[in-house]
Amino acid sequence: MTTKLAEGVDFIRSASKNINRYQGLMIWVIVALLFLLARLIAPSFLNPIHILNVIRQASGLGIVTIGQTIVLFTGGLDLSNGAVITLVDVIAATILNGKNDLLLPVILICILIGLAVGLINGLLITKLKIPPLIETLGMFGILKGIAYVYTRGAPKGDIPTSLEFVGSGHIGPIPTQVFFWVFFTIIAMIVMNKTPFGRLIFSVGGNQKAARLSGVHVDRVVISAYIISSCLAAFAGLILAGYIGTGSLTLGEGYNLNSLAAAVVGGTAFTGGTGTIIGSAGGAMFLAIIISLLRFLGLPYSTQLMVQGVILAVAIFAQTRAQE
Amino acid sequence: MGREECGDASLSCFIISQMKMQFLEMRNITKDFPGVRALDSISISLRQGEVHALVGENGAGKSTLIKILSGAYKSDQGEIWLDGEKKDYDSPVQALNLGIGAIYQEFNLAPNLSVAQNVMLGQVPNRYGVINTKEVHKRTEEVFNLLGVNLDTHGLVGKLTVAQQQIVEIAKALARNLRIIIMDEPTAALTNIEIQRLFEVIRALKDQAVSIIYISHRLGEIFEIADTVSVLKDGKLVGTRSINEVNRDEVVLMMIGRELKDYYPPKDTIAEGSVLKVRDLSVHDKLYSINLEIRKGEILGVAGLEGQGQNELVRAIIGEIKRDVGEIYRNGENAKIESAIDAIRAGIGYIPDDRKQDGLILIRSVNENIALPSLKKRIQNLIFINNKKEKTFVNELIKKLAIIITSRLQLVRNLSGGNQQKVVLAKWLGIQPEVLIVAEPTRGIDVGSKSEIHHMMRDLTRQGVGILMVSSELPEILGMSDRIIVMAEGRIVAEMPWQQASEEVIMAAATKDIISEEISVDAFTRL
Amino acid sequence: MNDTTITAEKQSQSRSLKSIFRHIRPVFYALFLLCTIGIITQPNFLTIRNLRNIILSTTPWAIATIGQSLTLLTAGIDLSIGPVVSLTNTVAAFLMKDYPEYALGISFLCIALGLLVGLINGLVIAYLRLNPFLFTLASGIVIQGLTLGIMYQPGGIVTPEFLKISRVSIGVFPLAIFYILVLYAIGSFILKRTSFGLSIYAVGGNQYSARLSGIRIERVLIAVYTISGFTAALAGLFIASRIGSGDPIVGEPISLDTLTAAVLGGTSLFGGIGDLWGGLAGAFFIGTLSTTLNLNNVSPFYQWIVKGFILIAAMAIDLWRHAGNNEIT
Repeated sequence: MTTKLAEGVDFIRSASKNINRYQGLMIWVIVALLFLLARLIAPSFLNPIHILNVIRQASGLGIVTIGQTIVLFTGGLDLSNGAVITLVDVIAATILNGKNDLLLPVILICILIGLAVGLINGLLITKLKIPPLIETLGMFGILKGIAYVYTRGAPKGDIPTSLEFVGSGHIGPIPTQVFFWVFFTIIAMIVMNKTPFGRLIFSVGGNQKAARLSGVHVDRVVISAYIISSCLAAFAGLILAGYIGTGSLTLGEGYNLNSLAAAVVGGTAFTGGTGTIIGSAGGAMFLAIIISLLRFLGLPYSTQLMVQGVILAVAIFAQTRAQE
Repeated sequence: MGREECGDASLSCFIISQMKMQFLEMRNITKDFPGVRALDSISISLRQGEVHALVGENGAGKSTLIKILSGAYKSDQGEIWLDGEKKDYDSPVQALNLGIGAIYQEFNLAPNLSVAQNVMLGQVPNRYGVINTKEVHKRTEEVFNLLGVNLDTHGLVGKLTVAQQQIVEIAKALARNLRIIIMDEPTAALTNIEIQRLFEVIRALKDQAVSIIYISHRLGEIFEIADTVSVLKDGKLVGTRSINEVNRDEVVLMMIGRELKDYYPPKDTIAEGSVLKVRDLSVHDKLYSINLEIRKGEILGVAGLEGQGQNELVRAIIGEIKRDVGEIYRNGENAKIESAIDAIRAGIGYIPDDRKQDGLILIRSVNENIALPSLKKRIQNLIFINNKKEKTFVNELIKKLAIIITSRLQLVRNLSGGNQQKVVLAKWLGIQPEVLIVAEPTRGIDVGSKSEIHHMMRDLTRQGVGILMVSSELPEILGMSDRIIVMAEGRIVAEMPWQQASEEVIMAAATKDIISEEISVDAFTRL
Repeated sequence: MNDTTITAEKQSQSRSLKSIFRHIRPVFYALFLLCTIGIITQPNFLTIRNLRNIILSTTPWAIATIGQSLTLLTAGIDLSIGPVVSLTNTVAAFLMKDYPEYALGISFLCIALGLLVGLINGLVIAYLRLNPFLFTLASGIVIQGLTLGIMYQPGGIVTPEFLKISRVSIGVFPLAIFYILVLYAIGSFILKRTSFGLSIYAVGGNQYSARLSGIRIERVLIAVYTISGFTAALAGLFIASRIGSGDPIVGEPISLDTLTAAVLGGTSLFGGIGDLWGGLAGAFFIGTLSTTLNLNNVSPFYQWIVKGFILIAAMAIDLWRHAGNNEIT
């Protein structure tokens, strides 16, 4: 009896081991299945305008997830990206105050913020050896606090039309945000697959010691990953700012955990060294659909949270099994 | 046997006669691993209070045998009998419950707990869960008394020296009433004074009728402390002798002396010009004033028992370990090597002894692994990887080393040991090094790949590469090296051209006791 | 004899004043310093009212830190503490509003909920071997969602008798001090003087060695996370008593705050080192800090920043003190 059980478990284990490799593409299959499911339980969900809206939601998350994925590739993780989004939003809203003139400097400032945050994260993690979980968590609190202090708890200001176009406008039938998502995804895929830098990222995450002995500047690579993550979060912050149109102290809430979940669901392991950008994109899509579907079905935010928690738990479980 | 013989006389007489009885018997233990028979029908028996030494070269099967005895592995064939009963167990915890335990070089102690807490862990005297602290310390001290040892039972284990931690492990074993304690290279990290103290403790254990299986390369020690010695070679038991029936040379002879069936490539290179010079290299406590030179086109073999500093030497040369003193010269100039990146820049390649931990990124492909150190120089086109260049580059190396794979995109972790090692080799060949530092080049590799790698190495020397090869396999050292140096206790103790070398000569040099401090009879306070 | 003389020296040294100072952990100095600053900058720091305030607002944090400290000692962590606090606070107020006569039963129910969550955490971490950080993060999210589902906005009300629990005083001393001290005393006793406590330290120090010594790792882990759920539930109930109603996100900062408090107090993230009293000092440090900042009219939003800094700094110090120490040569 127990041997049968053991055999069954073994089978599932070896199956999950192989799933990891194709998970990048698998997730898109699951996305397709989700659409089918939606058709069954809520056909009006599949209204094209609505679908486009869901894809727009996925874009913001998708951009942030790219950065998270790259950090995960190196074996770390970034929990500060949500706060970067919030900070960028309130700063942009306050400084721009509805006008387009200062747009370029503000964009530069926000990218600089991303650079600075990523640099600090990377330095603390590589030089002081603070575990990424703790360091980025601490940074999350600090950035959130800075956003609060900067706005004195009451965000004001306004996002100008140019950004609003980016965040909530369309080019043709397709929301503008999506173009950015696709753009960044393609760049990321090219970088990870076609450049030496991509190889270095994977090698550092795969076996840091062996990478170092092979001549890789491990610290530089790790710091770069965190810079990329924070910069992408800053971009996402600008785009999302355009979407909601004002400053908000809760804009970035949930993006850190959701980007993590999206990457994991898309096939990227916590332990680093493996995964795909396209898989993470699928993961973001997956999460966006689920959240939207739940909302559409009238289920409250609380249920959303629970579902997300369960998905995260299942993803962690699957990952852990796949490692063994 | 027993009371009748001893008459009224003594309890000690009775105890001694009990001790003469075999109480552990390992019968026909056989263990196979994929592709190799690690142990072939080994039978060893043990009396109570006996110190039984187990010797043999690396790969002879010693660690496999003790892993089976201590429950970490299960034998494929054979039985273990204890006190006249067959015992079946397959976990270390079960073995411990039967009274069999092992002490390895990585201690199993909790560094954050006190000595007494560690010794009594798992059987802490208590009443309804509340610990009786006085009793804990009292019992620990009782155990220490039995061992003739005096340590502060309140001290934190994490703050003790290696020798002291070892004592705690032994005390723990005794507190658990273990009757068989396996000690794996117990003296590797001890000073001579500490070694003598250890021997006092071992003698005290014998008085308690505890049996010890003692694994060591240091023949001098074995002749000092052991009662019996068993020699393993290539998974077989060569013989078991009482220590006073045999001498060192005979033991050495039993350990080695195999036919050199392997065909090594001919040593037909002429070495001239220095590619690497190490001057006065010292690393605190590990290496003392190492001077060596690798010439162009030669293989310099570094022989010696395990853990004599070869590892540190290699890692110091490539910058993984910080040197206290000493410099490394390449082609006459100081190479200023402080990290692996510097070493690579200086044209030095490093093939580590643990390929899985240090040499390969297992979850990435063969292609990526091989290309890694050469990305910037040979494969890059501005910012992109030139796929064609890479393909040619990698495929050429794969062909050169005859790596058997279905595709270069295969993940390295799915390759056999031999192919994995070839990938490591290919990776370094890619940077066209002038010097190659190789540690245990054919460890854990099948015979066929072994030969291929050897031929590859000789090929490199024909192209002018100088190779430093550390190996604990004597046949490999003898078969491959143009010159040989022998290391012991962090020093070079012998140097010779290959023509003057033989297994006996090398072993004699490697096992020579080096007296670095006076051995005073400075044991723990006896009671 | 070398060993005896060395250890004899150590013993006489430990009686010297110098060594006593070295043994007191940084957090106590920090707390002392903080109080001094508070007294200097604010004349009404030493008032009964202010001190009462500090104690009452810190009590839930202090109680919850017990659980966090224990999980940290096993080289784990519990991020579901905050959500559980929110849960019990919300459930208590929600139910007591409509069923005030069952206040006692409701309290027990809340405690049972905390125990249940902790038990699930423990089982998964012990048997499925999932990463504690990640899993308690996930379970925390689920619990938070559940809590919001029960009550989306602050609401509910507790019974008048229940209110008294946090307000009761003996003379000027709030009974809350007593609650804290009793829990800490019991906890500390168990930790330092029972074999269960020793096994917690053993598991955190060297899990494999603990297993070889016959300790049932799984039981220890399950127990530790269950206790964490228990103390989180108690904290939630105290908050319910204090604010008189339920707030579904009241526990949000508590997971991180208890982590910071424990690490500040000398408990190592890597397990095996630390105790409960340091965590108590750490909790009071954070509580006093908040109050002092408020008294000094520093915007409460700065607290996010300060806490983030403290977390990172505490971590860096912890690494510096402990990362080398946990090695056996």
